[in-house]
Amino acid sequence: MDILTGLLTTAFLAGGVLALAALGEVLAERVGVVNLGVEGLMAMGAITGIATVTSVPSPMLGFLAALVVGALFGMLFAAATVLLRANQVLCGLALTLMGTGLASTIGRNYSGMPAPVTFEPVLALLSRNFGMLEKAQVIAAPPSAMLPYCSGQPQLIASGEW
Amino acid sequence: MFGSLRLQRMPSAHPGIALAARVAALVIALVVAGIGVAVAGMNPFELGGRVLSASFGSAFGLEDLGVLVIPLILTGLAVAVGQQVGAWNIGAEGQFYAGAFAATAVGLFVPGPQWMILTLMFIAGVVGGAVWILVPTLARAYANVNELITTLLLNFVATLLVYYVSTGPWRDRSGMANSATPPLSADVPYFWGIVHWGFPIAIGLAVLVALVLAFSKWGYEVRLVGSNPSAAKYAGIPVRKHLITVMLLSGAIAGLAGMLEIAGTVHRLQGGISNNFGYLGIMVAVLARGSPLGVIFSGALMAFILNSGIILQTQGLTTSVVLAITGFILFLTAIGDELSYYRVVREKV
Repeated sequence: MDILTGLLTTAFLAGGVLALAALGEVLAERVGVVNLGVEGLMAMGAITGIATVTSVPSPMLGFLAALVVGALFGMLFAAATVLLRANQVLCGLALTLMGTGLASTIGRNYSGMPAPVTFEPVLALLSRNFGMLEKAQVIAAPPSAMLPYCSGQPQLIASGEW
Repeated sequence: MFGSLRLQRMPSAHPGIALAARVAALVIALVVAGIGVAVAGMNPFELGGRVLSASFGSAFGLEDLGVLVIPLILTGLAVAVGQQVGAWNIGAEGQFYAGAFAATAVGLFVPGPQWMILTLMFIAGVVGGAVWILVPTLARAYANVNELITTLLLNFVATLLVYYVSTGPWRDRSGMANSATPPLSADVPYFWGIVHWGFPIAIGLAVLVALVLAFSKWGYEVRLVGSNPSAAKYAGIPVRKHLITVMLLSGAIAGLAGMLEIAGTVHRLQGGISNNFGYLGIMVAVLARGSPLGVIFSGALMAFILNSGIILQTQGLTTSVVLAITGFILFLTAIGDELSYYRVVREKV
């Protein structure tokens, strides 16, 4: 692991989260709503996910629970801004405060605890299922290896044949 | 026959109904919060009583409120001024940091008599805030880039810049404070108790801006640009020039808030110094419905909410609970504000 490897790993991990949040925001913007409450929704999703997998050790269930809670808070926001036409900026910021506040209140008992179960890393999943094991080094591959990642063919990288 | 009932949206809200909606939002939020507190095993009435007596029962409580209200009025004013010309300045947080950063540079490295340093810090704070909004302003004025996004993004840059200098190159090497700069060489003098001269400056500035906007030709043109840019352009008003001036003014006011906070209240630069004042300023401005004079009152309300939060923390409630309650109050207020535009009418059949 050199510096570049670490940097790229972090970029991939953090970037995925940002991209998901941005995707949600883009959907809202498509219908003409500015949702500044994304931060609060993310916090609520995070605490829901961790609370669920702590009681039931299934990452898929945590994933679903986080989706449901995110949708519920999104519904609250939509009810206020779309049905009642309340100020979007104010409602969004209020949702951020509510979400982060509520999430850290509930999350106090979970703080610092590692998740008991997690999703398997994509790479491990691929290598086990497709038998591409040893040389699989996504990030340590030369820059040209990044191209298939961008074009949506991660299984090519996993082969490590670059 | 009575006919059916129907909701009708009015062009403007009746002031009495608007006020009632505000009060109703506050009451509902407090009742819900009170139920939550009671479920957690605490007495909400006792807590409420403690908050009121700690806020208004002593000079210390009032002084705390006075110190908190200064940055809230100024960042609220910054956002409200932007709204007048039709621009959303979500970046008051960043401009606050930029103002604090520039003022600290003067306070740390410029030698001289107290009054001179203070004057220079004042100028640095104002210029720092204006510089921080300069690029979003020009992008909006010449390329129609949404300032909502650009001003917001620069917040993170300013926040991290201040973290970097206060824990890195400018950190206090005397060992007293590890993650802050040394104390500044000049302080804003006290006005009353621990409340510094930023208090009259903030209120004076809000009144001044309100008067200029309401009674000068410039203010009239700015308000026209804000309410209808096309009509303003047709009337021969320099829309772009007003947009640039007012957005820079907005940044400058937020920068001044940052300067006053470090030179008056904290006396040194450190990370997290803004306490979210920039974001709270947006709420202050929206609660005041974009009125520069109104931010004095909504700033005071916000200061009371924040101060209540600090008092509640000493009573065992956490910051995050207080944060959630604040968000809930604002959420209901936004809904109440909108509902006050409607009235029930009876349709004749």
